[in-house]
Formats: sequence, structure tokens, C-alpha cells
Amino acid sequence: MNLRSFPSLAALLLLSRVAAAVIGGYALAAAFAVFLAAVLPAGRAEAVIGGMQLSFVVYLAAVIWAFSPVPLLRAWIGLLLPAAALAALGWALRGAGA
Amino acid sequence: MAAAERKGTAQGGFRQAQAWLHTWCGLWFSWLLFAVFLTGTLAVFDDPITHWMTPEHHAEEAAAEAAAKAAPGATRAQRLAWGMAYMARHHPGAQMWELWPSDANGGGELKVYWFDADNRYAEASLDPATGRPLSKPDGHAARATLGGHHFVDFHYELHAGTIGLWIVGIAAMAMLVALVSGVITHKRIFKDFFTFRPKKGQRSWLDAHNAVAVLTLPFQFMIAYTGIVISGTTFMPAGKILHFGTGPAAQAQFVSELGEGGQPPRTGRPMEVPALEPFAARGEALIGQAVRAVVIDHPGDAGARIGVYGWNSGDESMRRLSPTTGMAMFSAATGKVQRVRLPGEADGGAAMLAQSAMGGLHMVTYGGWGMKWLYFLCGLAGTAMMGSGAVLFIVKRRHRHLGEFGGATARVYRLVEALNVAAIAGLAVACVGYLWANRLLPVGIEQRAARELQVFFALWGMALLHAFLRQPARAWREQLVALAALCLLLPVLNLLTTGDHLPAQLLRGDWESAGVELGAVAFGLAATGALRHLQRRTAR
Repeated sequence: MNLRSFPSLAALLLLSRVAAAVIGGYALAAAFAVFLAAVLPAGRAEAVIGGMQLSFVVYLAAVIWAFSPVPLLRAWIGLLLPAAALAALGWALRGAGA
Repeated sequence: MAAAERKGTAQGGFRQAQAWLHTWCGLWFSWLLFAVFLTGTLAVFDDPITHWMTPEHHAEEAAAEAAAKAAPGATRAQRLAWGMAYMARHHPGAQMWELWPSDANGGGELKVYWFDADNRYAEASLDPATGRPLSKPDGHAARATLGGHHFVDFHYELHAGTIGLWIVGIAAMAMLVALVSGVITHKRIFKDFFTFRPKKGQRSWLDAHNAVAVLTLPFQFMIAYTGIVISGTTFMPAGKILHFGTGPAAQAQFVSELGEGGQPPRTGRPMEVPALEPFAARGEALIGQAVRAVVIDHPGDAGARIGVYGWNSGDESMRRLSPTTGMAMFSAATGKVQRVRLPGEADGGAAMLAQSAMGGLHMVTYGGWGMKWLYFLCGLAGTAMMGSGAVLFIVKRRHRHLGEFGGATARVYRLVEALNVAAIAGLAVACVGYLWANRLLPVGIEQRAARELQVFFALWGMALLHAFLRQPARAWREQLVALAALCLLLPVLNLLTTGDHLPAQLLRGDWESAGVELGAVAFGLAATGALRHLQRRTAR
């Protein structure tokens, strides 16, 4: 990546993509952890641990995906929308597990 | 905005984007990860390093061993009774009594632990032959040191508590990203694995970087992932917050649900703690392990609970990934068994067992010395992967300026060059300098352990300063000379300060001390090799 014209539009777009990967990816991973904590068929503390363990795999995949040829806006939406959905589902289903 | 400038984002190919990610994610975290990996690799042998760093204890250890053989001390029943009597007399108000009656063979020390008024873990040693409290060994006779634990602590929290833990956690996550993007970038992963083109400058660095990374790839994934997961609830608390909320009370509830079902309730009715030996004997039979500890919650109350924990003995625990020991829990009032955990089982279900096994995998609690050496070598390969990656970045750009940072590019390259020297050679100097400080600082000074640590950080800081003041090639040479000298002369230093030396260590079978000194010499020879490589390059 060449930043000769820094700070330029290209640099800002790149920064936004890094933010999508780091922040959006974390949001998706955290929402995934919340979802599993709610639905895993185990005691709630146990489900929290299971969700936590797998969330880092989701984070890793999200960062790699954000740096694939997807348009920037789609990268943001593709991370935050499922994150919101998983978090809402987890919130609604908490107490339903176990 | 030229087309070339869009490379690495949406408009370039997937592989190009991943190459960009690998280069920059790798570069900015390579220095910190090099430090984490080198110290983490040394941490595999933290016990031998501690042994080398506490020479005054060698005689004590030998004497204790001989004494244990000559007079095995009292029976376990007697030892438990003495421990209980000591606690009842000196710490009757403690919420928890923890008695360690003996080693796995019924001999050895007798120790008691409790939480003091400030909620700190406290301990006392009792004479295993008479039950009388032993006075603390004179602090000035032995050198105070963190020993090998310095490397353990530094590699996961940089001696900076929770902040350091977060920094290392973020770096480990970046490492996973760099590993995956590196594999995707790498077109001919298996073909290149058999390729090494020495003395070809940039090509050789790339080949070396690929070889160490690909050869040990599963290990590198495993060690980074398990490292994150061990402290995972700190990094990813979302699920915990969903069920338990935030704050100390929530944390306590979470831990108690995870662990042994929490503290039993107090009844308020007084009841003397019953004789412990029957519980110890039943616990031993239930878990199939010799008794390591007997723990009494709420001693003196009718709701008291007695837990019996086992010793993990060598052969049997070596074959298990999960390092948990056996445990049996009894009601003190009725004597009923409340819970039994067999060795290697976790307190909860599959997730807790996975958590325990990942801890064992990361800290190599299984497999014995052979496995420790394998971890040491794989850890060194990981260290070499970080170092060669950082060097490769700059070697690639020495002759071909890529202008990534516009007018500031030359300054950024200079910064990278200096950080490379200080992070690689400088950190190694600081590590061996820490061992020198252990021998050169006077034994009796105040805050001695902290002073050793200060020497470590001061040396590292000086290396950084030096790397900025000198030209890169010269900085490399001078710091490698310092490293080689400190490593090769470590056995001499030990001979001059303690009178101990390699032949003597080998003769008395002290492999821990000999291993540390031989290891230092091996690192010194490696530094000498790197120096000769540098000289050939400048001569050409």
C-alpha cells in the first residue's frame, strides 16, 4: 500500500478498513460469545467459557475477511449486522439455555 | 490515487490484500512478539533458571533431601494433627485452613496456608518430626530473586499487570492474523519448504522466514491461541457480562459457578474440626492419588467442608493434557462425600475440560523433559520467525525504496532498523544481563529482586538508545559482540563469584545448573555466528 499522498482519501479508506477489521471484528466476536453463552446446552458459566473460547476464531476469520476484496461499506455492514443480530438473539434467549 | 495505491484493499486481489495485511500487521507487532517469544521460550525452563539463580539454596536442597531420607518424620495422621493444632492456636479466625502434610511419598515438608487479615495468602512451615513452627530462613543468607519466573511473568504481562496482559493479548491476536495471512500469501508453501538459498541476501531471509514458520506452523498457532484463551474471559468478557453483569460480586459469582460450587454456607453453629486423617484416607482411596493438601472451609462452623487434593505424580500425569489433580470434597459434620473429581477431569463440562487442557498445552505440564525441549526448540523457531520477518522487511527496502510513507519514509525505515537491533540483539543482551545482575549485585541489598529487574530493563533501554545513535550495521555488530561476550563468559562469571563450574556441576549430576550454562554458551556461539555473517557481508 502506497501512502505517497498521505493523508489522502486512500489512506482514510484504508484506516476505515483496519477499523472495520479490528473494531467490527471484535464486535462480531463478542456478539458470538454472547450468543453461545445464551444457547449452549450447559450451565451458564460453562456456556460463557465455551463461547469465549470460540469467539477468537470468529475474530480471526472476521479480520481476514475484512481484508478480502469486499467493498469497504459491505465489510462494515457484513460485520456489524450479524453482530447486532447475534447480540440481540443472545439477549433475548438468555436464561433459555441450560 | 494510482491503481497501485489501492493494492491491499478492495481493488487488489485477495492474495495482495493478505500480503499487505501480513507485512504491516507482522512488522508492527514483530518486536513485541520477539520479546514475548524469547522470554516465553526461556520460561519453559523457569525452574532450572531459578535453580541457577539461587546458588545458596543448592546446599539447603541437598541437606533437606538427605534429612528426609535419614528421618522421614511423623506419619500423615500426626502431621495433619500438628497442622490443625497450629492453625487453631495461631489463626483460629481464618476462613480457610490449607494443610500440606507431606510429599507424595509421605516424607518431606509440612506446610500450612491461610488468608491473613488483609486477605493475603500466608504460609508457615512446621517441623515434620516435632510439629513445632520452623523459623523463616535468614533472608540475608540467600539472594532474593525472581529467578526464572521473571521470564514467565514478562512473556504474558510484561511486569505491567492487567495492562501488560492486554498488550500481549492484542499482540497474540495480531500474530494469529499474521500467520493466516502469511499462509494465504505464500503461494508454494510445500515447494518452498524444501527451498533454501543461502548467501542470496533477501532471498535467503525469505527462505529462512518461510522455513521456520512452515515447519513449526501448528505449534505457533497452538501457542498463540491457547495463550489468548487462558486469559480469554479478560479479553472477551461479553458472555460473562450477559449472565453475571459487571463488578466484583458478579466476578465472584462467575468464579464460584465455574469452580467447586462456591463456598458452603456458614451455619453459625460452632463445631470443632474433626480429625482429618480419616478424611485424607478416604479421599486418597476415592481419587487414587497420594494426598497433597487437605483444605477446610469455615473451620469451627458446623457447615465446614473438607477437601482432599492429590499429588500429580510424574509418569501418570505426563500422559494427560489436563493438569488438574484429583479432589474429593466432604461435609465435615456428616462425613458425606459431596463431590469427587478424578485426576485430569475438569470441574465443569467439556468447555472447562478444554480450558484446562489448553492451559496444560500452553504451559507444557505434560510429556516431561523431552516435551519441554521440543517446546524450547519450537519456541526458538517462533522467535526466529519474528526476527527474520522484521529483518526481511528492511532488507527488502534497503536497495529499493518503496516510499510507503511519502517524505517520511526514510525516517520510518531508520526507526525500523533501530527497533530491529534493540528488539532482537538488545533484548537478548538484557536477558543474559539479568543473569549477570544476579551474580554481581550484592546478596544483602534491599529490594534485590527488583534491582535485578531494573538491570534487565535498563540494559534494554540502553540498547534502544545505542541503536538510534549508531549506524545500523555498527549497532548490530556492537550489540552482538556484547551478547556473545556476556553469554560465553557466563560460566566464568559464575566460577569467579560462587566458585561453581561446569565440570563440578556435571560431576554432582546438577543438570539444571549445567543446562543453564551450556544454554548460555550455545546462545553465545549463535551470536558469534551472526557476527561472522555480518562481517562477510560487509567484506563483500
